[in-house]
Amino acid sequence: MKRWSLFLISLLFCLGTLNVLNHRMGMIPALGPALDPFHGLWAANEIHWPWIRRSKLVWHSPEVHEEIKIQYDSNHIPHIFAKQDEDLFFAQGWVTARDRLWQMDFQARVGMGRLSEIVGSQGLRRDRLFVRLQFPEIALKSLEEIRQNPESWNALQAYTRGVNSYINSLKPKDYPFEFKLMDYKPEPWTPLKSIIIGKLMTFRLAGMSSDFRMSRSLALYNEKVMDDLFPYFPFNNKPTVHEKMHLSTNVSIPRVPALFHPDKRDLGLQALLEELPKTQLGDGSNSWAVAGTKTASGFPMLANDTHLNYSLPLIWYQIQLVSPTMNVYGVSIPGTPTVLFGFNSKVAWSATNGYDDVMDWYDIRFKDEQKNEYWYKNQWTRTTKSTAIIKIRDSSPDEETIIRTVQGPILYEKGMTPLSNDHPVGMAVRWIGDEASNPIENFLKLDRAQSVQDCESALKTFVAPSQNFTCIDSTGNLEYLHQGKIPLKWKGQGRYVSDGSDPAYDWHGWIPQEDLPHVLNPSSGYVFSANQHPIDESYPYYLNWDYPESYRAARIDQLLKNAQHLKMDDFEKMQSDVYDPLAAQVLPPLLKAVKTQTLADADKQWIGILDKWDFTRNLDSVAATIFESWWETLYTAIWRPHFGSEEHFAWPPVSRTVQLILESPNSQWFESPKDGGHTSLAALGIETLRAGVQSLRKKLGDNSNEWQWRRYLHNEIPHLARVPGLGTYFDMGGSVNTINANFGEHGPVWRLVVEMGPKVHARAIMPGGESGNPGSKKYNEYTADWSQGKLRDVVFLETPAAGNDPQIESTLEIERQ
Amino acid sequence: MKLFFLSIVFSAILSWFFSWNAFVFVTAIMGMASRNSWRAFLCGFCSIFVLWCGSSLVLHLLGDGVLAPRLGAIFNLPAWPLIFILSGLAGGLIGGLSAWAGYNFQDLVRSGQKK
Repeated sequence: MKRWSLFLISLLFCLGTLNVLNHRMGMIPALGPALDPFHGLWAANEIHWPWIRRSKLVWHSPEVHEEIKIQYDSNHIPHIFAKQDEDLFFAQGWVTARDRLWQMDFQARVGMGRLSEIVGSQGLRRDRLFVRLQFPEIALKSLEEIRQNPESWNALQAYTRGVNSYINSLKPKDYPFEFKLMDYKPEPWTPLKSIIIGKLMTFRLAGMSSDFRMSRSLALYNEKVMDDLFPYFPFNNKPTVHEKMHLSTNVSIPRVPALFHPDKRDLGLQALLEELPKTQLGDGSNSWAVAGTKTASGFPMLANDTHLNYSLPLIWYQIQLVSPTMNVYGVSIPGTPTVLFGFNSKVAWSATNGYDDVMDWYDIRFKDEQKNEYWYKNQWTRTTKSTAIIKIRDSSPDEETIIRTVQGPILYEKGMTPLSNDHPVGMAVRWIGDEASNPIENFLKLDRAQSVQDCESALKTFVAPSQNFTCIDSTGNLEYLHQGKIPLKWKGQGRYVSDGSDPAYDWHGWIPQEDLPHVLNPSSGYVFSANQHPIDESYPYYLNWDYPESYRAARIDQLLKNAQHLKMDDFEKMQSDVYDPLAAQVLPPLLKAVKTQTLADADKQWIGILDKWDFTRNLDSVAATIFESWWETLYTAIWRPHFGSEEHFAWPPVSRTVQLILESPNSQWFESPKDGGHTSLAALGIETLRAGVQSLRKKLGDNSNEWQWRRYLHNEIPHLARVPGLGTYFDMGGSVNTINANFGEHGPVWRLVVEMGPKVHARAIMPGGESGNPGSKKYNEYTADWSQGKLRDVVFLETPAAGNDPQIESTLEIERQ
Repeated sequence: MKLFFLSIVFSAILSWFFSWNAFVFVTAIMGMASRNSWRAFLCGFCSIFVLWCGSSLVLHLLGDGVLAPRLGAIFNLPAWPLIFILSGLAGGLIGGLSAWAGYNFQDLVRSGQKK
């Protein structure tokens, strides 16, 4: 009996433990399969067998037409040589999947609202956003548009086949790391997913608006005050285009109606959700180009650094695509075919985010709680309703009912928690992503461009997100094009919440493409864009009022204006420039003002440090930290008493604040409306300096020698899904307004410098690496060089390199079975 | 001793071809051949501990060496080399328990046969 019970107990223990180790617990993977060195997470460990180097791997597939050769250089960037375009995009899909499959799957899930399927209910809020924006439906519209263009359609299909060919070759032990960690399987790729990923990028770059907070600020004051504090053009405007453009004469700008003041209840001032972030720090970029007159070589040069959130793996994937119709090098987005930005032997192009106002909110007056009808054009108009299901892991699914007006879907219903404070509850949203588009056609044409004219015609039909494109060609031409489908609006339309019942607030068509800001071969010999206003007051069309501050643009202009004999090294250095023009402009008058006050010894110490500062945001700079803390405290202290919290109300832009400090130090805005509050800029200045220093003591300790800027900057690159341990840290200076715009886990995620000529030369770098496998050294091999501003020579091949070429590390051939 | 090494080898072979827990058959049989239940558990535990801890260490040394510190961080370990120990423990625990069950099984059967 004893033996029976002993046996049964031991059997039970064994089976029980087996069971526990075989099951996932929340987000912790099943420990048994995970820690199994033969099939588990350990399998991600990349081993480079010495005999594999310089050797050839041959892979067979019945889906390719002819032999495809892929050479990986020593930076592990693939160079694809195909004999026809379908094979080219098949290989692009295959190769990208091999390095970044999980990222592609994850991003597609985010856009389709299918995150909760793998992460459970913590993904619901994000999924709701994309499901209610109707991402799958709008992607389908674009898919239909792409189907009309056989070349784009074939490229997309071939790419999909390539990805699926790779997925089908995987056994469970080969699944990318994060699939095992999060306990789910890769599923087949579809053309729709590629479009979704494109739409996600559009949302990131064009899905911003401050209409809601602006309307709330308007409710506190009036239009006159708002026009004064939120000017349409900043006082330090540095537009990209300052030469006269020839524009159409027969387009009528819509009439400006009376300003709409939404009902205060609709502004939801009661739903102040403190923990929500307002819309993220804007994604922007720098790009500048100079004509041959300013370069040592006599040929044009281009520099581009795109600013996005840091993540491992990175949003970009470098690649070279070679077929009889193209030979292009640049960055691609994993999940979509073609190269987006880069160069070929004749042309180089870059882009910075356009920041036009292409997202507007509409206050809707429903007939009743049923919301079947709403007031529009002086009558009750029917809404359309649709439902969507969001599956949630380990839980019952969530059902969403989406009500749509003529303007767009009601993004959030009462009771829902928006993902951002800039998303009002109960209002309809119209945004550019709703438009059907075929970006594949645009990028195919760009990849094949041979002149700036080709660039221009490639971008004619470009829809979204609107970008500032710069093109240079080997003949010596230089062109800037602000491109995208931009709604025709009256001045200020969409600045505040719009009246959903009045068609005057609808988009009135589109700005004619040929009238969009552009300049060809400017007399100055250079162009630059740092997301600032593309134009000035003389431009007849309304694009937006709210662009990133002009400081980066001003610095680029300053460095290029009188420069001659420029070389690639000069551009490389410029990209790492950390001179802060905002500090240079606003600190001297601030110091002058506070020196008029009674100062304690401690105050004199800080002022002394700031007096000596050269306005550079270097890692070791203590002055930079003190300035930053002071400026943040000052900006808040000026506007919070007048507008409330910045999470819920729009505050006047930094440039307007600087203008007041420079030009109107006695302005009423430096007085606090409360009794006993501050009464002048000088008093406010010293008060906030002290408060800023105090906050530094709390954050960084009492020893001011340890207040280096590197400790204030949170220089981290997190994992794409924020898994701890899969990110990295780095050491780089900079700030929001320096050319090297590194701040808040956000900054230059690609740097490119190109010089045209008989042979094109390029250098590039990005943080992270080509591989999305955390078990590989290729996951994070570039970050050290990137953080030091070092770019690497780009290997640009016209034909496949010889077998023993030292630039090539390994070769992969895909042959027809 | 011989049993110990044989167990590692056969477990490795089974693990390569089948699922992560296929080795239980080997450790169970090994448990059946053990002299007492303590030796059974110990032998089962140690053989798989060595297999898993050793394999993961070998993989780490042969490879780029970047994965182990990351795994250590994911599992929130105070020091990342503990990840090898953790791997060993996970496998070893099952190895030991299955060997113990195996021993008890043969003990049960043998005592039945004696009757």
